[in-house]
Amino acid sequence: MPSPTPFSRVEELSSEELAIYRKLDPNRMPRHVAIIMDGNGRWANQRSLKRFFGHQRGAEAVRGVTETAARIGLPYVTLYAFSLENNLRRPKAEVSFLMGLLKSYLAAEVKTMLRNNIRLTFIGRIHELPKDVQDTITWASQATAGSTGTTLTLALNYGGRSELVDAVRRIALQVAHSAAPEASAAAVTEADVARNLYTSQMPDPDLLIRTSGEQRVSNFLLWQIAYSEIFITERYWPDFRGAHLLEAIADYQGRERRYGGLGDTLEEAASDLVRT
Amino acid sequence: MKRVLTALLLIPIVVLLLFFGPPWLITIACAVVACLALWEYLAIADATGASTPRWLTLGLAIALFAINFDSPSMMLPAFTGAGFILGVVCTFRSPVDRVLRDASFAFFGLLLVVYPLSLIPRIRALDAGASQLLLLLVVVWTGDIAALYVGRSFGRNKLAPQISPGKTWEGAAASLLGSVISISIIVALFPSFFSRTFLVASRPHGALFGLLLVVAINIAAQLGDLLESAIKRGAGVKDSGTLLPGHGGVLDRIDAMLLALPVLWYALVIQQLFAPLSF
Repeated sequence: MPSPTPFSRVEELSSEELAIYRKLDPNRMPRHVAIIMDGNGRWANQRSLKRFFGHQRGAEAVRGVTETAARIGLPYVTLYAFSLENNLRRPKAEVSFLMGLLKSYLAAEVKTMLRNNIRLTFIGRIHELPKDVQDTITWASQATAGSTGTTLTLALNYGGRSELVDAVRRIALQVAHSAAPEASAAAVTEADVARNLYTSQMPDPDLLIRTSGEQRVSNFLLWQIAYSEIFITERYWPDFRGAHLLEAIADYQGRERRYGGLGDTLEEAASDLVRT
Repeated sequence: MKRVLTALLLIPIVVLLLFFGPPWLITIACAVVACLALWEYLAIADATGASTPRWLTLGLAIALFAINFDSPSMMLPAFTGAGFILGVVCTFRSPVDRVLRDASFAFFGLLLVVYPLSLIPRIRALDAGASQLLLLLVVVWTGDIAALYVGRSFGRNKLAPQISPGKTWEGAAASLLGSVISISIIVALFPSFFSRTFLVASRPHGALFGLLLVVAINIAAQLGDLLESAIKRGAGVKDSGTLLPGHGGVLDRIDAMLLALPVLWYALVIQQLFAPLSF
């Protein structure tokens, strides 16, 4: 089986995952998969457990999924871990538990990440998080900065609209300080906006996965998912495994991506129409 | 000898500061140089029979640099405001027959000295700004050296004997040629320097625009020098000051830069007006 990327270790997949992986087309693997990890609370409620237990199992699911992603050599994986709205609207006790969970997760997982050649980055309004969390984040990203494999991005205190607001503010400042502000304003392009987003160093997601069946985007990567394929599964996040990621990719490969143009089949039909 | 030593000491400091200095340090350095030059200028202006409000003008200069650092788009209101403050203060401070002279001389000092130096932090904040300033420094310095040595050896036709008896047309031409040749050598050795530094470089006639820019900066530098010489002569002064060993005063050193900097800025403005590329 040819390796799609130089840093994949497909041979380390479990037999179940390997079975699904063999059916995939290595030439049409997504470059960037984004995941809205929804359903920790509902998973716990379903089992009459406390919410925090769902979050803990959710963290374990993250471990499994990122390991699979690293093994198949997915270049970019972005996980929606904690939104601005979560920070503001969830009860303080849950928020501080999640911060503590994040810190212990990072502290425990950095070694595994280094072994899996995973590079850790963060997007969101990180500077608004508690200082000790920021320190752990800085340490974790620096520790894994040398990895050359999968880039795992955690969206923390993230909001798609806030990201756009931050980008607009940066661009407005650049325009104001330029030599000819009116001309600069007229010259702002999509590339300029993209360059000022938190995700400026990554390609746009090819595939957006949302767990627990909800059919909404919840303010995640609004600009970047303009042409992403969206895959929604009823499964709750704590139940999501590497094999399910591969199933989502299989579904993605079955789709025809048109980016606003005509598909191959439709193009023939359209040109036929024009000729007659 | 003293002249060469001072130059050898200052040039590396300036270049290091330009490329690696934090923005606040650049602003402070420019403000310090501006205040020193402004002090010399005001002394020269006073020697022609005025009594400019020294400390007020210096205070306004520092305020302008602070505003320029924080919100450069406020410079026009701040600048004109400073002019009106000078006018009003002189109305009451100076004897009636000197009001216009005192206020005008002081305001012209802000225009001539403070405005160009306030452009340095602004240009540096732009993309490849430090490289553009380096290009300006190279043009001004090589032009100056070429004019000095060629003018000494081959200078025959006086350029402007009323203004500056030492300057010759041969020296001026050598200055122009010296700048163009130096920049051509740099661009030949580091081709990516030019394309990275100027948007126009990637256009069809990029090299021509580059040449025009070098010529414009060089001419502006020479004109700036003549302007300061004229002002000094009018006041009956030879050197603007004695701060720098072997070099005369601070104003003498930077007078070429004072016209060259706005010309570079105007070129950047024009470039941005016509560039469909992202800013």
